Amino acid sequence: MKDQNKNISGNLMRPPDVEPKVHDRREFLKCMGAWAGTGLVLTMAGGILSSCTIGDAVPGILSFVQISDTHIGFGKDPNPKVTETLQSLVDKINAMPTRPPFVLHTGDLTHLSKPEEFDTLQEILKGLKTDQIFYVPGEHDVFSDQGEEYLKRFGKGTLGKGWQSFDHNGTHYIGLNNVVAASSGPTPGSFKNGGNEGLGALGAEQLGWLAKDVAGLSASTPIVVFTHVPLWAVYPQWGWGTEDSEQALSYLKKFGSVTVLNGHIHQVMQKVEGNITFHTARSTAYPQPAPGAAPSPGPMKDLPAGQLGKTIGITQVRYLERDRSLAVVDTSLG
Amino acid sequence: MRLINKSKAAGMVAIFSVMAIVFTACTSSADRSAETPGNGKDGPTFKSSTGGAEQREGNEVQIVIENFAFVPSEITIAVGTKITWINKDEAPHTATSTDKKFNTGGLDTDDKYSFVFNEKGEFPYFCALHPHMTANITVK
Repeated sequence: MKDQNKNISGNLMRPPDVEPKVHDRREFLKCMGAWAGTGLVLTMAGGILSSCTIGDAVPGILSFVQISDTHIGFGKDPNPKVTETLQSLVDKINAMPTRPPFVLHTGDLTHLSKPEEFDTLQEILKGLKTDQIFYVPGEHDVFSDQGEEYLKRFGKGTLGKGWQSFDHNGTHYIGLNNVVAASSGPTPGSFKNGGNEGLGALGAEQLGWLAKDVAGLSASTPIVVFTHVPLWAVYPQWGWGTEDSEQALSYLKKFGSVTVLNGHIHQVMQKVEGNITFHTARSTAYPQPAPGAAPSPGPMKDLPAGQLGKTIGITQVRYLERDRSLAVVDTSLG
Repeated sequence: MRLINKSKAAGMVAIFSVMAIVFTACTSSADRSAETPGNGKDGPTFKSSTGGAEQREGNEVQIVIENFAFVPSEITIAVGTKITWINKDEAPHTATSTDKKFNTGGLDTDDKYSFVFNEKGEFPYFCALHPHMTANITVK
C-alpha cells in the first residue's frame, strides 16, 4: 500500500456527477493546525482533505455515530472510571439535536471479555437514544474464547465470526471482524521465522464472503466499512495493521467512494488513498501513544491533570448537503 | 523485530538471575497458580513417563511480561519445571500456546499464572491480545 499523502485525491461520498472544487494546500495546512480544539471536521471537499476545528455548530445532517474501544473493565490510570466517561459520552450523543439512526461500535467493548464487563457495557448502551447498534469485536472481546461470548451476545444477524452488511439510505455498510483470525496465533510452522507479524487478519472465509457481498453493487454505491484494527499499515511493529487488508481493499477498488472506520489505536488518524478514506476513532476510555512515541502501545497513564477528556471521545459521520459529501467529525469529551 | 532482539538479550540476563533464585528457593513450591483466576481449566495436562516431575518438583522459573515482550523470550528448562508468567505491563496479556498446550488466559497488571512442563519438547507461545509478542520454551 503506497503512502499517497502528497497526492491526496480521495472522493468521499461524492456522486460522480459533482465537479470537485480545488482547495489550496495552504488552506488545508491551516486547518490541520487546528487539531487541538474540541472537535475536528474532516471532509472530502473537492479531492482535498480539509480539517477545521468546530464549535457548537456541527455542519451537516447526522448520518450515524461511531463509538470505539470502550474497554469496560479497565480501571487504572489514566482513567479509573471508564464506565463514567462512557456514560458522559452517551449523554452527549443523546443531547445531539438529531437522534442518530444507528450507532457503530468498532470493538474492544470490554477489557478482558468478562461476562460482567459485557453486562455493564450493554447496560450503559441501553440508554443510547438510537434505533440500533452494530458491533464488530476487538481482540479484547475474543481473546479468551475465540469470540464465543461476544457472538452469543452480539452475533445475532451476523455471519461467520460476526461479519455483516446492511444498507441505509443508499449507502452499503460492511462490518468486518479482523481480530478472530489473528488471535488464533501465528501459523503453525511459521513461528521461528516470524511468519505472522501479529497483525489483524480477516481470513479466507470472510474475504470470500466480502467479494460476494459487494459483487452485485453498482460502482456508484457509497461504501462504509467498519472494523476494529486499521485496514492500513499504521504501525506494523505494534500490530497496527491487517495482514490481508490489501485483498479486502481490492474488492472495493471499483467503488467511487469508500470510507473505512476503525478503532484499536485510541487516537484520531486518517489517510486517503485513491477513492478510499481511512479514519480511526478515539477510544471512550483512554489514549494510546502515537506510533513509535513510546516503548510499547500501552495506555498513556501519565497524562497531565485535566487532559483525559481531550484524548477520548466519539466520532460523528455527517452528510453535507451543500457538496453532497460525508464529513467525519471527531468530538472529544471535554 | 528490533524489539524482540532486545528482549532476547535481556532474556539471557534474566535466565541466569532467575536460575540462581530457583536453586536457592526450590523448597518453597507453593502453588502460586492458585492465585490466578481461570487456572482450573488449564492446569497441568502433561504426564511424565519417567516420573521426573516428582524429582524436580520445586524448579521454578519466572517469565516477566513487560513492554509488550516476554522476558526471556527463549528459555530452556528441565522436565518438571514450573514456569510462572507475571505481567508487569499496564496492558493485559496472555501466554497462549501455539499448539493449545497451555493458556494463561487474560493476565492484568501484576497477575500471575503458573504451568508445570512435564513433557519434553518445543512449546512456542504468543499473546492472544498482541500476537506480535511471541516466545518459546524448550523442555529437555
